Amino acid sequence: MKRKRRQAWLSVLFLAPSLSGVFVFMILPFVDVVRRSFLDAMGKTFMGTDNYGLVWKNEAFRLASRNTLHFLMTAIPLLFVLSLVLSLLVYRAGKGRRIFKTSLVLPMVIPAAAVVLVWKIFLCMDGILNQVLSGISGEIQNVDWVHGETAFSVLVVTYLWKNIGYDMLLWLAGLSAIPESLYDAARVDGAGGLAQIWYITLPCLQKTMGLVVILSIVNSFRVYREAYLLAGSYPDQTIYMIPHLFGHWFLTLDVQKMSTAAVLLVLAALAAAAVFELLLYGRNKERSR
Amino acid sequence: MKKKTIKSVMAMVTAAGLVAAMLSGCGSAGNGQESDGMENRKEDGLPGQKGDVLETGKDGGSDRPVAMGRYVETEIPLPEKAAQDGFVSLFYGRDDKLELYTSIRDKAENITGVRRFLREEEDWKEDEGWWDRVKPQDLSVEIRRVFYGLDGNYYFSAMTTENGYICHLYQVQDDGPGADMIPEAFQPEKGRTYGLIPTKIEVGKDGNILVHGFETAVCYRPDGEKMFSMEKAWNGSSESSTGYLTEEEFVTRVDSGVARYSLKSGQLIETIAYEGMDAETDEGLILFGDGDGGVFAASEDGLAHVNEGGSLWELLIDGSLNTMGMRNMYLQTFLKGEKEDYYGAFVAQGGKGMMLCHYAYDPDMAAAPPVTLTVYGLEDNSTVRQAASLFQKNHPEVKVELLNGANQDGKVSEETIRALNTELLGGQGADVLILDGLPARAYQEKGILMDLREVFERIQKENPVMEQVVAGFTEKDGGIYQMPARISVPIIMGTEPAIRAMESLDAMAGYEGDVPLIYTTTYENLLRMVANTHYKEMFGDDGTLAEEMLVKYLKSVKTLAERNGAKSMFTEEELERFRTGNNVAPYGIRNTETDFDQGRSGCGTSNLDGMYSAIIPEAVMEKHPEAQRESIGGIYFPKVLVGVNMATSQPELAKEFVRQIFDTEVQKEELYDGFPIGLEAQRINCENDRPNYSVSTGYEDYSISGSWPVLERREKIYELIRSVSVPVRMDETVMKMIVDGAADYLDGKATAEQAAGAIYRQIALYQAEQG
Repeated sequence: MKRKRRQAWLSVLFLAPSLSGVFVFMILPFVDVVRRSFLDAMGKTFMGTDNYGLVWKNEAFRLASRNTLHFLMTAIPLLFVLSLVLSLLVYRAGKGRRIFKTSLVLPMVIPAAAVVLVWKIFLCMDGILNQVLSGISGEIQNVDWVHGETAFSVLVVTYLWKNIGYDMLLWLAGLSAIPESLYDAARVDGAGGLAQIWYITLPCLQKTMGLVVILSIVNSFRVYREAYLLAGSYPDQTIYMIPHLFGHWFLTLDVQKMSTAAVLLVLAALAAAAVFELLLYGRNKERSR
Repeated sequence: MKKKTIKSVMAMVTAAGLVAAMLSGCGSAGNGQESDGMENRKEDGLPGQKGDVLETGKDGGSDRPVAMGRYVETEIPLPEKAAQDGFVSLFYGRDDKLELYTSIRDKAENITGVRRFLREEEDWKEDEGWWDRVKPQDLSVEIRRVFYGLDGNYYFSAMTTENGYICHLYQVQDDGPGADMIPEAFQPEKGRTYGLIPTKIEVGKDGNILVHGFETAVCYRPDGEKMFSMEKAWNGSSESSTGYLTEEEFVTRVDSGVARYSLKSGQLIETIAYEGMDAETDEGLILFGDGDGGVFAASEDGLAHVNEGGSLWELLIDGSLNTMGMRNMYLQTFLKGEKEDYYGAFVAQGGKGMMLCHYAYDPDMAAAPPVTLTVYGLEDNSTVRQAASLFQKNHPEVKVELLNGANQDGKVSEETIRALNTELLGGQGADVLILDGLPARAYQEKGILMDLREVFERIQKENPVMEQVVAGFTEKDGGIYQMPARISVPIIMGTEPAIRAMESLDAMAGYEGDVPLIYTTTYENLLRMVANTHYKEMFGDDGTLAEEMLVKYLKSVKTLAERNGAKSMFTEEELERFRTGNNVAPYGIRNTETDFDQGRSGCGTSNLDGMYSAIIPEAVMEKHPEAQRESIGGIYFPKVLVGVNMATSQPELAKEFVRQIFDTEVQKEELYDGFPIGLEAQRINCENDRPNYSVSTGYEDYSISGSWPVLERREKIYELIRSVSVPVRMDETVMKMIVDGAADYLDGKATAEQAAGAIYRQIALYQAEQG
């Protein structure tokens, strides 16, 4: 008992540096953010819940939230599925495995500014895509892919292109942990390729799935960089995201709105996590029965 | 067991150390204010300045150590006789006496003679009749420069005033008129009336003559034989050239720094990089030697020095603390004195009035003024610089530090404003803010800016400024948070129907003349010009833009564009043919008065930001007595918007600086950044005559020139300036949305309604963000 307590203290001590870092650089600032959400812009006058009412009714905030959610709901499932398919293909690939792997991971190491430049060359009015389409159709194509209705699709494609390699690596790590004997046994039992995936691969990848989803969501918040570089600070309304709004609010010193919106977003994320947790808890309980 | 204990202890110590290190990084070392004070002092001290003696008790009675020693400027009285003269030269002559040469001018500013003064025991003694003795008898010439050659002879350069414009170099003779030297070097080519106009001429120890051209300096033997030429940075001014001779070297400015050439071979010896030197704008940099192989560089930044063989420039005199940094005074000559002192000669803007200053080292003066007032802006503004220099002269205990937020290319990004906002949010930031290009309205609403109503009440009592400008920047509750120190006024000139057509968007679209209403320009300029000049019609009093109005605006611009052949961008051939430009003009208003003059447009537009900018429009008006000239809807563009940071720790000093900016002393200067709003300054400027000031423009077979407007016309211009009452401050974000959104419509790829709808949605989103 004494030893256990001592070990617990030791573990706390080892964790102390990182915990204090989290406390100083994340918890304390967030507490300040919560405090500022009840104050005016300069943090001098108490505003009660006025800021919450103001932000909740703010059309720009609603649009940015809707778009961010729309993007998450569209891009993450796509990324999830496509990266998994690619990882399965690469995992089973023969000689070209390394080349495939490297080429798919390459977008990760290219700086965003360079990537965007390439996309612009490809997608601008006089870009390669329009020229190719013009060649095929025989009519001059002048579609503004970045600033028109196609902006959302362009952003999703950009996000997929950038992140698919990374997610594929995560899946590959999960795949390599699955014992080959399971597949051998399944093959002996006459299972086909799809059956092997459905009954062996997917269940064994469950832990990896959680990791892939979380990291994909985290990476999706970085897509603002591409959106900003591609379409400027006021892009097409379909790709106007929360970071756009925060950037503009900071320019006009609307710190109280930023703080309030941040608190609302954290609450929404916590609520989503709680629902996820509840679902997981219910499922585990069912299994243990 | 023992090992485990040691490990545990080590782990604990490491963890504790890490926590302590992380937390200590966030704290302030001791008293924050004290720490700041010391840091300021260290930054303000001139790097490497001699006499960095640390003393205590010099800083307002505190016991903190202060670096001591600074060069102090004192004005040297000029000879009474030369009070109205122009500056010619200042140098040490044969007897190691300071010699001053001034030009006598008639009412038309023509030079009629030259005076020579010698400095003797703190006084000037005139060498009467000097010019009559030395001037050439066979030619009528106008003096340019007098100098003492390294060969021990006096020389002067002069331009002929009859039969062409030809330079001559004369060697002063003891017993008569000067001897004409190497005349063939300055002779014009066949068919021309002017020859080489050197920016400077010098004579070396062996009598060789160095003639500074615009891009090269050419060395001649005394007999006129050309020896070699040496490259130098381009110098467009015919009044000054940066470079000097020593016995063996020629030192000059090149694009990458300061170059030393051998006078034996003309070969480059070395180039010393000069940090912050801008080859395009540092024409005024004056170089001179220290006698030991070192180089001095004097400019508006101050006096810097580098030792022979060295590469680090040491700033000896901080120009921002004295006349060197003043924008209305041009540095003409800077000299090393007999001891470790210096002399600087300045000429006031427009050539009238000169000033001679002495710089002596005072070991008892703090190296930097103990108090620092910071002024932040997004550009290097002349009015602010002028105010800072005068403020420091009037308050020797204060250093005004001008902070420029723009990057080296003069560009401002959102990151710049974010960095400033971070400071402002932390209750820091500069004491005074120059709000041009900054989100001033947001700062005002968030309580960043101080209410300056008391300051302007006092200004209006003591030294009034334009009432309607003050009213335009006074809030409903009487608060004043920002105020423009200067304004620019767009004008239109043309026939009655053309001028009336500019009164509304409908009238503009309905104009039917033989030529287009506005001359050919880019879509962007048209969009900007119409939006700025019809701001009130489009945005109303509350600053909102209705979608129907947007459609009307786009259609009006399209009509104008169709008539004048506007394009999104012109090709080189089109630029040549139309004589227009692809650049975005300020407020979209191009100076098109010459197009009106040539009958290429129904009206001409111009944005007046000083009397000098009215010269060509006035010349056009003189040619067209049938034409009228008006302001456009009584609008003006506020410039040099001044505000004070609410969080400043020295509010009274900041307010005093604001008063300085609006003081006549600053306002009366023509600094090319707008008309003053001070009434007394306007009166002075109106009376200010510059008969020798003229401007010419033209191309191929067209040319027009004008001189400084006569009093009657100047009065009319100021009447026009005083008549404007509508400040226009177009939101650049909105303007960009309009320009971007209108492109498809103007290119014929979308309808006006579609384009207006897209723009409107963007503007609505932008406005929703602020809601």
